[in-house]
Amino acid sequence: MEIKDISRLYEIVEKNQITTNKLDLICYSLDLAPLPESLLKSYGMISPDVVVRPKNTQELSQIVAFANQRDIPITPRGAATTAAGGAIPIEGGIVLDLCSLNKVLEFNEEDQYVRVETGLEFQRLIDWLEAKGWQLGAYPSSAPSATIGGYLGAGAGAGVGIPKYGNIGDQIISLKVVLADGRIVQTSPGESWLFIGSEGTLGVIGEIALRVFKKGKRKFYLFGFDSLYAGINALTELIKLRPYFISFLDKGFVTFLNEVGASRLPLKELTVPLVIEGSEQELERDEKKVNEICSAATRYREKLAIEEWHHRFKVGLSFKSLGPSILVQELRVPLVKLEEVLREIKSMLAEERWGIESLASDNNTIVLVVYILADERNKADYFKKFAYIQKFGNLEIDYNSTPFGIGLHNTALMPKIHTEEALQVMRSLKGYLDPKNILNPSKTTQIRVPGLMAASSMKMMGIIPEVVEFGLESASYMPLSLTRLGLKMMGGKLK
Amino acid sequence: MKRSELVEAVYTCGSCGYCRFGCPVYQQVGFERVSVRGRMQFFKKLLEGKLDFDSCKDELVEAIYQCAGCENCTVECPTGIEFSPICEALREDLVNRGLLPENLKPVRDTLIEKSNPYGEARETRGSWIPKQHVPPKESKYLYFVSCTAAFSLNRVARSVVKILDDIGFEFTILGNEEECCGSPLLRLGEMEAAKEQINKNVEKFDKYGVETIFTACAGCYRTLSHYYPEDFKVLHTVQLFDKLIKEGKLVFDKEFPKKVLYFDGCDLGRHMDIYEEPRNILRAIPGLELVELDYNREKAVCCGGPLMGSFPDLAPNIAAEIVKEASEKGVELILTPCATCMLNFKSGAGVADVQIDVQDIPMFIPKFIKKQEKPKPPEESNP
Ligand SMILES: Cc1cc2nc3c(=O)[nH]c(=O)nc-3n(C[C@H](O)[C@H](O)[C@H](O)COP(=O)(O)OP(=O)(O)OC[C@H]3O[C@@H](n4cnc5c(N)ncnc54)[C@H](O)[C@@H]3O)c2cc1C
Ligand code: SF4
Ligand code: SF4
Repeated sequence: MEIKDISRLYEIVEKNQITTNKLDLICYSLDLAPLPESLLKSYGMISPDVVVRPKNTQELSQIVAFANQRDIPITPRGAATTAAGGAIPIEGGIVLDLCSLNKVLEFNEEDQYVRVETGLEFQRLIDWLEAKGWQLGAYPSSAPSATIGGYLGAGAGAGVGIPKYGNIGDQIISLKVVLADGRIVQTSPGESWLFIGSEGTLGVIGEIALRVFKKGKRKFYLFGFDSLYAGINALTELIKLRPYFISFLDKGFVTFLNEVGASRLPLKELTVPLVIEGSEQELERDEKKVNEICSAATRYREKLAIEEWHHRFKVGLSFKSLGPSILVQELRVPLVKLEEVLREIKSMLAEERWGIESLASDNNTIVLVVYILADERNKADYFKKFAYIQKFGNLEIDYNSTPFGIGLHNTALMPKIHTEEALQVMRSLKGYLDPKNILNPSKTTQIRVPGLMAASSMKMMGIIPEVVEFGLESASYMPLSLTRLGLKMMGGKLK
Repeated sequence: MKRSELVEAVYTCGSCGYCRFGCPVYQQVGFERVSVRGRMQFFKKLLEGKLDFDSCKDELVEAIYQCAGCENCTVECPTGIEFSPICEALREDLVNRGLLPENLKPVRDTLIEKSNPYGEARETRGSWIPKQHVPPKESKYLYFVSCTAAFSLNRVARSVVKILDDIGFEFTILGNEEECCGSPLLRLGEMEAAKEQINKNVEKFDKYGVETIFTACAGCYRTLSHYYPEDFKVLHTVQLFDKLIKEGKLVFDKEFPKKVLYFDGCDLGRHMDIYEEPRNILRAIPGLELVELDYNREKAVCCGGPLMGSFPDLAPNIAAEIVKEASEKGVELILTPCATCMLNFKSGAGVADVQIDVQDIPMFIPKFIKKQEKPKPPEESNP
């Protein structure tokens, strides 16, 4: 949909908060994933017309109201560090860049909460709070760029702090949400959950009042385990101690780090960084338990453990030059299934160079981030690797795991994850809150590329990637309207 | 930089966006086209032939020049992408295609013709110099004055000379024979013209038997260290002063009981890794209370000074943010190692509507120096 007239936007915000610069429109069409252009074209993507960055919730509300009135698609975007396409403005229209919505509005030490705008990067909030002796209860490893709103939108599934303080959803006192018609509503803690993981399809979160915690003393560990079995057992026990941070790196991952000089760790089956936090007595008590649990493991010097902690935001990308592309697959696995899943992954990726880093999550689950080295310039090979996406999808279903974010690319999995009834409920909710379907259309419950079509093209990518490459390249010369018509006829949900 | 290095960077970039955190330009402009991530995204389209250069030439040229070269992004980048040299190489490429932005052409012409950015006559470069240092003489030590101190901020140069004369430190000054160090031309992408200035300076260094060069200008210091032959030892005056203080040759005995911010100018900080020497100097002044910005040393956010000429509307706004933070912290004086920062902070204070004094370290310290009983005779060898 092409916006005929954006002049009204200039009445809402200053000129320098709006861009239609061609280069901007390219940047704002993308998220973290380096997808071939032809693939996005095959989605019938329409380029966005304009990017607006509101500076407060009022402006945000007026922009959304304008979009609703004119029936213009509007896609909220934080730092776009997600890779499932959630922040991709697939139907064009307005991209709402929320990163200028970044003020700390209130800090209440007595009642232990902070009220901030949601485009604030976690890193800035963490630094600000920690300088005052406070800390957050949950944040992602992409903190130097990830926004608070984006974390909530993406589901806030994993992160630092979660094993100790639980999911950020439980730490929300209230949200200020802009609904599709522009109304601003304030949620109660329970209602807040509605918007977590809704990927900007139900409302745009403008402000959050969030619990903060007194920063305790911290103790840093780094362990190496020679066997997967021992490592996973220890991990399971360590999580019960409710550490502030725990993760694991597998052998492949550490190999990558060593290769680029980002670490010099011995190669063990599992390497486990751990941070416990609390009062002097708590630390003493936990320290004993940690030592018991990890008695058979190699314990590295504290200096290395602290380094690991300082690098926690960077490790995942530090070896990217080895690809130079990396295909990332994320899945949430119940701890009890972890060993089996790791073995499955190992056999599945036998032909690849890969490594795994985990992120601790809640409810005794762990999020695996699987990094597969690739080179996007070698299109056929790259497409072949895309076929793993489907294999990971199946793995998820076999092991009661769930994908980590639905966005655009994983919508076809929704009927496998949820019952038809549950999907219906979600769709009615969307229909109720956003009757014109302007908020981030074609995401989550709206399956753009129908399951069968997605599944079969994935299969073909694995078997005859050259043909798929040729097909996509040729199709990208097809008129957009034809692609969109085709998708619609196949049952794809387009706006 | 070769094309292959750009290609490598473009494909290595993980689009994580960490580079935006401390980028002065992104934080002010607010749109991705000026983030390194954004640039990598559209460079990829260019390299892959999905974006036609001519269709967005103006936008591209602007995006390539709208970078302060401060390297904050490099500190944040998990994949180790060094955008600043890439950006310089891209500018060189644009210059070779005749695409230097119009508003910068007069700047370039002045730099080439007059060998200074102020448009002052070459013959007046040394007019500020005290008699005892004219004409230049053979010496192991050379004070490289810089265009700014020679033309615009004589006080800086006079201070440096006075401090060193008072303790009997032997050195020479090139006077009118000094050329611009080449930094402004390098930043414009005019590599060839910059090389000419560099070569002329090197000739003079050789002519006077210079072994060690010191300068109070952070930009000259970086350029002399990174773009000149390695035959010369290069020092910034903060290193020299710090050393003299440690050796007891420079002593402060007057108080300055105020809150002072030392600002880590990028040319001295991230580009040259000098963070502690200037702080040591200021700590040696009795009563002076050093204040730090939330993000300092290698994380310090650039003041935007390098963009004063090319984006005059942008640069002071960037500085204004820092001035505001300083003022909120009760700072009464900002000290910089760099005249560019100093000038930009002055404009920034105007934008922020904040009363704050801004000075350069050499201008600031003379009044606190303990008077020597009698001037020491020149020593055989300097420290
Ligand atoms: C190196 C690295 C490490 C990571 N580590 C973690 C981790 O530990 N845990 C984890 O959970 N994830 C992690 N991620 C994934 C991702 O970075 C996080 O989920 C992050 O919080 C997303 O924030 P964002 O601002 O980039 O969101 P975006 O990608 O911009 O947006 C995500 C979704 O939310 C929507 N949205 C954005 N802002 C709002 C808003 N204000 N209101 C409503 N909807 C909104 C968008 O439309 C989109 O659908 C990591 C990613 C990287 C690259
Ligand atoms: S060098 Fe500085 S101004 Fe340029 S992109 Fe990097 S952080 Fe921004
Ligand atoms: S920080 Fe580095 S890897 Fe991340 S987006 Fe910026 S340039 Fe790319």
